[in-house]
Parts: sequence; structure tokens; C-alpha cells
Amino acid sequence: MSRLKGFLWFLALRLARATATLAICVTIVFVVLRSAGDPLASLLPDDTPPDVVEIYRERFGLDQSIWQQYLGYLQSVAHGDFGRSFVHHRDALAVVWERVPATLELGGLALIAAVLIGVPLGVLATFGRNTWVDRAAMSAAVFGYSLPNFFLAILLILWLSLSLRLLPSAGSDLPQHLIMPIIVLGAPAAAKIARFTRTSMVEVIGQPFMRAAAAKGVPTRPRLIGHAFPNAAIPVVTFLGFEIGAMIGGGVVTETIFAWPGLGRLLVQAVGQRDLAVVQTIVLMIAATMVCANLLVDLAYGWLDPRVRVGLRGTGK
Amino acid sequence: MTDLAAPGAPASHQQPVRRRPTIPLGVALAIAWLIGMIVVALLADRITPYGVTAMDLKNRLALPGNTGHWLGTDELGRDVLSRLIASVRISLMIAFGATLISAFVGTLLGFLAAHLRGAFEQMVLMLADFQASMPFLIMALAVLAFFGSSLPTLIGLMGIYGWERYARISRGLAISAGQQGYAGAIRQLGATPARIYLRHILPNIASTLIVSMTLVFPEVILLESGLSFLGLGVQPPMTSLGNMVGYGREYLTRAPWIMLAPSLAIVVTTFAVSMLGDWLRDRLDPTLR
Repeated sequence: MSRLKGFLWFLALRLARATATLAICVTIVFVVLRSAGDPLASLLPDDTPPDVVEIYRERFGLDQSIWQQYLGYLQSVAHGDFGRSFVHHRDALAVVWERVPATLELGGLALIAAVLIGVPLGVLATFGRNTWVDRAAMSAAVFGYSLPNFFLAILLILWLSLSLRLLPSAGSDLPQHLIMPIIVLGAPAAAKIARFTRTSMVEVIGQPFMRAAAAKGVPTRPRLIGHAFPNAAIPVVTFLGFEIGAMIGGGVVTETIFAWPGLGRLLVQAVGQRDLAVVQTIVLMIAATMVCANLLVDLAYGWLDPRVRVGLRGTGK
Repeated sequence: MTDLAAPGAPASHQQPVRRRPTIPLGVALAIAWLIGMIVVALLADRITPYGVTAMDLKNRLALPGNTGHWLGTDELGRDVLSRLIASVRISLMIAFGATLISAFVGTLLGFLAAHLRGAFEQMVLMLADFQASMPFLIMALAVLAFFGSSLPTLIGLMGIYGWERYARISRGLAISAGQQGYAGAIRQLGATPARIYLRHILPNIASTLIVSMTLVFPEVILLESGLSFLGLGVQPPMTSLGNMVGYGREYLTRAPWIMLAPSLAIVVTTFAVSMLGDWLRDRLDPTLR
């Protein structure tokens, strides 16, 4: 009974936090939108007669007080109305929505690849701790995340497309088009995951229960994989939640370079054309994604690690 | 790591306190590179062989290594070395400015949160959580869409990056320092809160803050070059390292030197700062290890 109560309390706290974060985000977008200058100035030509400007001002509700405007904004966002795109002459949400599958495809595959490479690399490094395996894996990791993504992308294009002529340099029609973007997006993530897995494993190995397992006579390999890894994996799950944010950021550059028709490329184009409706839609969508990702990570954490549920006071990170 | 000191010199932790610490070779190289970059940035106007926008139409896409243009020219015949030097200046200016702004703002908010507690502290922590969970590049792009891009906007915008780390560190350390004897003693002596925080607590946590700065600085360089690479950061005729890479991308096949020089400058600089930061962290701050 008390365990269930504890879990519900945990859930309620997390949900309240997620809602608050989203509210902050919507508010910030509203403040930035309003402080960026008169929205009508960018909409209407300079020589519009003042009375016409007034009509538009009333139609958009810009004659109301700032609080009324804020409430109106909250209402329209809650209804999924993010305004119209000036460039595409359509509902901004529809324009953005079309690009979501491409981004999910690239981002999802890159994340899977990063986990499949990063986690084993990190575990492998702990197996041969302080030997050449460890050093080689960790040097590769440092290299992987200290290279700027655009530089890595250009090097790959130079090498694989231009000199070896193995892969197409940009586009989205063939499966081959995915390879280089996945490398560029996944390599830094894999590197960070590998380092994080190693740190986490090393920490767990130092715990008393690992000494107990060794004293009991459990051989090294089962000890590391069966006893240490499940415990070490818990912080790695949290780390993945943060990594999603980094990958969204990296996706912007990657998609632009490889002409991948996803959200990131749309965002860069929309910023260049100052298509504010599309920009705010994407920003709010990413914010919602991040909030959901963090919520899921928190819940997964509570599910994987009973200590979090019991020691609720320690959850405010 | 190799030590610069004579072989057989005792390891640094065995030395008497006043001896100069030995510096590993890699770190020494990193420091030398950074000093070189700063000197180049400061003297940029004097040492550029040509104007940044000066065109030499007879020597377009000249190969690197010739005596007129050491790093070659781009497709308008502009000297790549001159543009590189000017770019280093702009990129470093943005990175230094932004790092200082975010360190100042973050530390101030952290101290205020530690001092005032209550609602203000909760608000700072919530904003910090928000900032840490939202990809900064996305926020930066949104702000640039709303306000347009200029050098002051860009420095201010990058100055928002990373403040939450200083805020968390300074808040945590100020709270724990406030519970230690020395802060209480000075308070009993009648010092004002500002004096306690600035004269007594700040020097005690300065090393941790400096280490955080070395972590934020390369990230700011990467962010700025990423934005400029996308054509949304520093605007022509001004040029930054990211700008040059983005622009050189179009001439990748015919003139790869246009983008290789600035790319290497970015990679080596960020690497040097990270290396310096790692070393400082090991030396100054056992808590962050």
C-alpha cells in the first residue's frame, strides 16, 4: 500500500514538473515573440494606411492588454493552432508535421546505432581496464565527440563520396543516403555513451557487492556482465534522455548538410526566411519532446531502480 | 605524460609547496597554441597581409604555398590567410565575451539563490533545469529568427549558454561555504553579505568556476561555428571560422583548402582548451574529478 502511494506521489511530482517546464517554454516563446517587435510590421507593407493597420491589429487581438494576449496565446497553443506559415501559405503545424517521420527515422536509427556501439565499447573498456583496449576505446571516444559535426560530415563527403565514390553526398531517396548522416549524428553520441558506460561500470565495480561476488567465486565475465552491468546500465538510461536533446541539436546541422528533409533542415530554412510560425511550432514541439523524454527517463529510472522510489527526497536533482 | 622538467625530478606532489609545478608537454603545447591564437586575434589588424574583402581577381583559387598567398585564395581571389586571421579574432571575441557573460550571470544567480532561498531559489533551479533539458542550438536558432543576427546579439545569445552550470555550482558551494566556520565568523564581525560573497566565498570557489569556464568555452566556439556554418551566425562581410567552413563547403572539390584551414583552427583550439581544462581540473579541483 505504502509502496503504491509512494509511486503515485513520485508520478504526480514528475507530471507537475513536466507541466511546469512546458508552461515556462510556452511563456518564453510568447515573451520572445512579443518583444521581437511589432508582428504587423513584418506582415504588412510599409505604406499600409493606418486605419487598415488598426483593422488588422483588432483582428489579431493585438489591441488587447498583454495578459489577454497571453491567455489567448495559451488557448490557441492548447488547441494546436500555431499560426500560418508565410512561406508555405498553410497551417504551420501541417508543414512541420510532414517533416517529423524523416527526422524520427534518422534520429532513431542513429540513436540505436550509438547504443549498439557505445555500450559494448564502454563495457569492453572495463574488461581490459588500463590496458591498450581501454586506452584505444577511450581515445576513439574522445576523438568522436571533440570533432565538430560539420567537420566530420565534410570529411566523410570528401572521402566516401568524392574520392572513393561509394556513397551519394546528399539526398533522401535511397537507403545509402542514410549511412553518412547516421555516422555523423551517431558517432558523438556513441562516444559519449561509451565513456559514460565505462565510468558507470568502474563505479559499480568498486561497490561491496562486487567484492562479495568475487569472494563467492563468481568468474570475471559473468561477474561483470551479470552483476555489474545491470547496475551500471541505470545511469546510462538517464544519460540517453539527455543525449536525445544533443541529437536534436546535432540533427539540425546533419540534416542541412546532407539535404535530409527533416525538422532540422526545415528549422534552418524557416529561420533564414524568418517564418516565425514554423519556428515557434518546431521549438514548442521539441520542447514537448524533451519534456516527455525526461519524464519517461524519470519513470524508467524509478522502475529500474527501487532505491529512487523509496528515497523520494533524493529525486530533486 | 611527459614532464618538461629534467628527468629524475621528483613528482610534483612530493615537492615543497613553493616550487613551480611541472607542466605536461601536451598541456604546454595547448597553452602555447592558445597564447598564439590570442596574440593573432589581438594583432589581427596589423598582421593580415591583405584586406579581408580585398580581391585579387588574377589569382582566384590559387593553391596554398605560393609566396603571395601562403594559404591560397578563394574563388573571389581573397587571401585565405587574411580571412583566417580575421575569423580567429571574431570567433575568439564571441567565445570570450559569451563565456564571461554566462559565468557572471550564472554565478550571480547562484549566489542570489543561495542567499535569498525560498521562491527565488526555486525559480532559478527551475530555469536551470529547463535550460539543461532544452537543446541550446534550437533555442539559439529561434532567437536568431526573431531578432535577426548581429555581433552583439550573437555574443549576448551565446552568453546565455551554460549559465545554469555556474548557477548550480555557485549555489551549491555558497550554501556549503555559508555553513562553514569562516563565513559565520566574518558575518559575526559585521561584514555585509556582498562582502562575504565576493571577498570570501568567491575566492574559495573560483577554481571550480574557472574549470567550468574551460568546459563551456570550447562548446561556445563549436556552437558559434555551427550557427555561422549554417549561415545564421556571423553575417558577411564579417567572417568567423564557422563562416569560412560553410562558405568553403561549396568549393570542396575544387579548393578544399578554403575550408580545411578554419576547420583545423576550430578543432585544435577546442581540443587545446579541453586539454587545459582537464589538467586544471586535476590540479585545482578534487571535487569535480
